Amino acid sequence: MGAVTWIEVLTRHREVAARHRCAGPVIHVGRGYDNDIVVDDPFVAARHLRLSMQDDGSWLAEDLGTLNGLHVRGRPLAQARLAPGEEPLRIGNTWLRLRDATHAVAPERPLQEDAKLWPLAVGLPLLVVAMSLLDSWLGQTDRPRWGHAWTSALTQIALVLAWSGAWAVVTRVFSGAAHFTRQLSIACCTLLAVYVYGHASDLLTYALSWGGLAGVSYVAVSLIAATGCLAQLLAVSPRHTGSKAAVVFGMALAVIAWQTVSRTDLRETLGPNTVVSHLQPPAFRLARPRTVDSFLSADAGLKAALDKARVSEQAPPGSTVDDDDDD
Amino acid sequence: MLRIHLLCAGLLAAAVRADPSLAPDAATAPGQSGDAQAIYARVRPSLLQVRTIVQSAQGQSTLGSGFVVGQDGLAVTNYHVVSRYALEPKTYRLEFMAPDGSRGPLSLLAIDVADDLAVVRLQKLGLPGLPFDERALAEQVPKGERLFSLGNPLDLGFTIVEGTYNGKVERSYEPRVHFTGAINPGMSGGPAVTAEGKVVGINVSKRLGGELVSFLVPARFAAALVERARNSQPLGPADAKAEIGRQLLAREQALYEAVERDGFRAVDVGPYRAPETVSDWFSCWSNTNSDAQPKPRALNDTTACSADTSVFVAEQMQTGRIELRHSYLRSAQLNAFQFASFLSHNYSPQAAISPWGRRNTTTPRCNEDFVHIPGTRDGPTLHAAWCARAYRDYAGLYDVVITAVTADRSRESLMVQLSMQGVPYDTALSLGKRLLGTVAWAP
Repeated sequence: MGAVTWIEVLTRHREVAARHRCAGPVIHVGRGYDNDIVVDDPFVAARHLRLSMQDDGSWLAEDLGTLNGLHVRGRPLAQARLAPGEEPLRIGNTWLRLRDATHAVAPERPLQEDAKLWPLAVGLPLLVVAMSLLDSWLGQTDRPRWGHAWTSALTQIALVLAWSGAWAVVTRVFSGAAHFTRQLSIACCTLLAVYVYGHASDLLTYALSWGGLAGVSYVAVSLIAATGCLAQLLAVSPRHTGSKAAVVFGMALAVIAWQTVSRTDLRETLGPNTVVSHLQPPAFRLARPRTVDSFLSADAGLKAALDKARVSEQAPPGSTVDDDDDD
Repeated sequence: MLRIHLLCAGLLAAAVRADPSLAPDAATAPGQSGDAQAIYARVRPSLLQVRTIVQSAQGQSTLGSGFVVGQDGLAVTNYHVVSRYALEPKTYRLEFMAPDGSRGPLSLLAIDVADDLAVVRLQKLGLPGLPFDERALAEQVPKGERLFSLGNPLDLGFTIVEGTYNGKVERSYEPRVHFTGAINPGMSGGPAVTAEGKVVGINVSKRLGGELVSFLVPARFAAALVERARNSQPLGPADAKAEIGRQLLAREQALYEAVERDGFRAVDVGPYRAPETVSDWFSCWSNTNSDAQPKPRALNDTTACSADTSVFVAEQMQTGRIELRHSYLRSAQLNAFQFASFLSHNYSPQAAISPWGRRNTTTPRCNEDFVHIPGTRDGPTLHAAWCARAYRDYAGLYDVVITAVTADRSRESLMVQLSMQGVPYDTALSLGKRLLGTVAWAP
């Protein structure tokens, strides 16, 4: 036959722990040193499994009378026929997978050296500081209070560093390298996106005179945060993108739903729509000004809604008046 | 303005100087303190305590005063003394107690919400009625005349308080007599009489933060209400509330039509023309931050005109207050964004209809847009907001706040805000039109 077959020993998480190149038609697997492949698993017998190549190129796996047996697709079997690349088989707590030389591997990925990312690692945090200081500066209407502004900027950066550090530790645990720079860049980008969204939303709210936009900003911020978390998860390891996205955005949706419910009370108090709360310089006005009459006819339109609410809306629970008064 | 309907007070003893040496002259020297004794003796049989009783608990809930008029068992008191019963006739009932200790039920015949009066009927007949003073009905009582106010302050027992008639309150929307004397909670609805024992006014309220500044409802309103009530049947449980709604709507309609009739005058502030109220019952107060320490980087000159036009409907509901304020804000030191932040701090289109009022009103609805004011020169562009809410129990009444801030210049702005409590919607719309139309560039 002459074909080279590889046997991969997998961890419980299906990650390759060891690869063995086997040329012969019969391979023995077990804990003893007389095997072709030695497995350090206390739940594997000294001589556990025999793999023998059949004439048609498939393999026959035979349990050699062990306590824990051989499992294929979750079922205990005395023997099973396998083809390379199929579902892994399990002996004890060890998973084995056959690969032949023709197995296609993923294409080469470009080299990402974290060392080359240092401009990002310095630039993005500086940008966050700059953004925070800019925010404070634009909101400053009385005496400049730079100490306050710097404290808030540096607190943010400290939190971003701690957050990225935690992700780096997770990355180190699961993929061997910390990738701190990458995690830091992602965290900074997320924060910057929140800043940019906030300012863009304020400007747009004013420019179009659309107070309702402020009411949905929590949705946008939750989605930005979820995207950031997903990017950090994928930086830990790029596998299982779909399920990670599902989990992260599922959580984001749960947060949004919870926020929506808890805001219902507030909306009952403040009314269904809010008004512009952050005025902007007049240069940002986009909406065409209306005439007084057209503005007032829109105001007149609110009357019907109010009259309807007058009948349908429930009064808020409140204390009843039963104190005694001298009139 | 801190005007209260005698709902809270410090305990002030009424100073009745009973100088025995003057007592024999009392009858021949009207206006002397000594005749307080004689007046009290004459008026006392006509006085009443008016109580609202909680039906289920059989205990008193509120306590006020009243007095008998005429011979057929009618008595006058304040609307606010009987308002609980009028609004919740199933929960409360009315009861009187005469100075001789006799008690009995009262039926409600007529109310006048705007003037805070009510006429009730006693089952007990034979109590002497007090006459109204003819000069008071013609509004010809001279300023400085001695008056005697009677009632049951703080449930301490019937009391006579000496004071001075000080004419009609100037610059007041509601006609009220200014009485200089100590009126206290519990005296509401009691009479203020001349030395001859004739009724000039009905105790109604006093000003907090002043000394002895009290108010009476002029007698002519009480006389008119008594005439109306004389032949009418008691108000049924549903009638009273409907009647209150009707009167309130009419009163508010008249109030806001008076504002509209007088209109707004234009006042130049900086490069802008701002609207200010014309009606003389508004008082305007200006305020600036330019003398603040440390020196502010942006200046705010505000003028607020408000009128004490609120009307009592229930303990938790007074309405009818009007305020118009304009602020000229500017800065040479702030940049355009910082100035916009400064404007935002002063911009609150919903503040005047904040959540505390939700018991009586719906949640507010707002409309907000840029508005262009046409003018001879290209008029200013405004960022305007209209926020309104409806009264649950009183159809046709709304709280409306109109806020407008100019959006032309990056470092100066005029902000105008008109807050109207209990306004009919259409009147609010036409007032809004006049208000926004007044904003212009100063020539």
